[in-house]
Amino acid sequence: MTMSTSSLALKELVIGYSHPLLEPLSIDIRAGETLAVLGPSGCGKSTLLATIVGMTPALSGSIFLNDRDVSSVPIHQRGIGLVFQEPLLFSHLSLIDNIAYGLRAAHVDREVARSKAEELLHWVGLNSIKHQKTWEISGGQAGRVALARALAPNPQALLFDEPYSALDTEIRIRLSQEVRDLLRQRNIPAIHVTHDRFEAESVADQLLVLT
Amino acid sequence: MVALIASVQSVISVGLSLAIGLPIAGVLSRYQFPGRSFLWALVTVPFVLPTVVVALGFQALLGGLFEPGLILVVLAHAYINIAVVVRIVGAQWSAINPHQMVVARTLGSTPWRVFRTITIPTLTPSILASACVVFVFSFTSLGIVTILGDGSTTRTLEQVILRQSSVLLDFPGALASAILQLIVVSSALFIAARSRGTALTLRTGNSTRTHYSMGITSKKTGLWVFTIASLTAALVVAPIASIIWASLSGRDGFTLAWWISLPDSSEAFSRLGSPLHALGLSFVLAIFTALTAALVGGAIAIAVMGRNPFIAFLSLIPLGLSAATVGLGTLLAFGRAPIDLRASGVLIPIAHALVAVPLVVALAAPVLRAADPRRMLVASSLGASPNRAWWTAYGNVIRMVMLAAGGLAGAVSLGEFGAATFLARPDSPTVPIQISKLLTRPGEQAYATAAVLSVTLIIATLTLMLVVDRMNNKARA
Repeated sequence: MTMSTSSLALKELVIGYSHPLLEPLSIDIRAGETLAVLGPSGCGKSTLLATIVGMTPALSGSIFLNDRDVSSVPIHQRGIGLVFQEPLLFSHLSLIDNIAYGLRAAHVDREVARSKAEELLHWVGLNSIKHQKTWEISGGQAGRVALARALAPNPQALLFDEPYSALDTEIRIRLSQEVRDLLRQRNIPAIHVTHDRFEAESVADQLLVLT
Repeated sequence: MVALIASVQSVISVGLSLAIGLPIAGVLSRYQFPGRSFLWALVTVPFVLPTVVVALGFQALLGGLFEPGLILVVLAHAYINIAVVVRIVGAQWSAINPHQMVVARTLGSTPWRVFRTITIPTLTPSILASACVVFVFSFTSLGIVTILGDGSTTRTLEQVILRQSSVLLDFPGALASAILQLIVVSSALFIAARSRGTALTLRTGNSTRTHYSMGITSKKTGLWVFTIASLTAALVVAPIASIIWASLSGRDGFTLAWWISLPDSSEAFSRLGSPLHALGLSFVLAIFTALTAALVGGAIAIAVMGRNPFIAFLSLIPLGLSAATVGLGTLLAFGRAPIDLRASGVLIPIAHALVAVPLVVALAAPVLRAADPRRMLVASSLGASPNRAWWTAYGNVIRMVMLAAGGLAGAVSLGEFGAATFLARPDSPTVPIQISKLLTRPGEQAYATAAVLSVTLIIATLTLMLVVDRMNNKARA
């Protein structure tokens, strides 16, 4: 699988809808590093992710990915993956086709995409359940499939919006460690939003506290 | 041959209903905007209006542009069935988490690809379910095809059953046609039920069952929502406004003459009785049907509450039967020796109750089942006798549900055309039959009186449905 060696940088980024929600943000996240963003509900954490991924336009400032300004690049061409608190698997597709979805969007041949998806499913330790429906698997398993799906198209950066808050503590700790190792191994810069201080400290190379 | 003709007409009606209903479902289920709740209620109006009223509305609105025939029939069918498509597909659409679309976009999909690969496949089972239901309504249409049809390209088996049993007195033939129709209808309803099941599985397959809608964030979206909402409102209101105008206008412009002459029994109404008499009869029948259906349907709903599947199944059988089949069955069962009730005047209420009971059960059973049974335990623990404890737990809900059920049954009876066509005496018609007969007579007075009767039915039906909605909401609360 291709390894990315990208970096994500925010330069004087101002987020919000009509008024700024936060002071201008300038942060560099190097390849394989994770920035944990900690703060209470409504402080602007999710808006920050929505702005970086391209759902919401920035009020001002820039977002650089590998030194390229992607601030006005459409969401589907930005190359930034997103994992929400809910796995949000596509329930009309099989687990394999869920993981292969991004590869198919990039016009990868169906069989090649499915084969890569199987590799990823194996890698997240779920090969034994590959024939199950999306609604037949547990929350933890669905979270792993969502992670594999986000990784499949080789994103240049990954954003996590409270990805483990619906999971049991034990699974949460294990999964957060695994993801952290994976991001380092694949040199993917990441932003991890949470309101749980323990979780933030366990995944972070850098910590940003919003109030 | 008629089954084939009816199938072609129904498939076209399905196509048009989906073409009109899907954009409305999308806008109503995805976006929050001022007037959204009102528009939800408005799209339901055509579905609850009596079919003969809808037919008159289209005749008044488009009769100058199109001759009676396939175009008017499929337009009227699409009008009635917008609510079916919007309700069934909209429920599924609103259950799609918008974040799912965002995830698909971050995986490299354009908005069009997201729509094609996520939205449409998720909606397909509910689109299929709504298509089957619209097919059934169009295939068993009687009021619309009688008034707006041309007698050749728009014929339905309902018309054949009516002719075989009323004109030709060919009861075995009518029965054969009814059975053929039942087979087609049952097959379509079976596919609809399977598709609904798949749709529910896909919905529960998502990690939450919440309904999602979002604000309008761009001018382009706002324009799209405004356009669809405005066109929808105009589409729903236009036929109704045409009827109201027809009831208030004459050669010299505005007039109340047609309303004032309601008790008239002049030449224009020979062998029909006065319009006021028809109104009186319809209201009496509606009250009788409301009482019967609420009591019978309520009792069945209480039995179903105890999860008696056999009674539940029995009560729903008439849902698969068309109104004409119910009318024919009532006539065969109670209109000849040894039980001949033709002279008693109870045949129509019996048939109307048969049509209404399954709807009453469908309305009441879920509300009763949702009532918290722990209230009964609390009442018992406070010393109430078993009967009193049961009534404490369910009495209030039952009272509200019965009122709602009675209102629904009354509305069904007021607008019912198919069964009454078999059973009403020629000199004493119900309002829908009076309207259809007046429309075959020449002269301004006959047409305008049909419009006046239609306006009365519209007011009565919408008032009753408002009561049903309020009582049902109260019972659920």
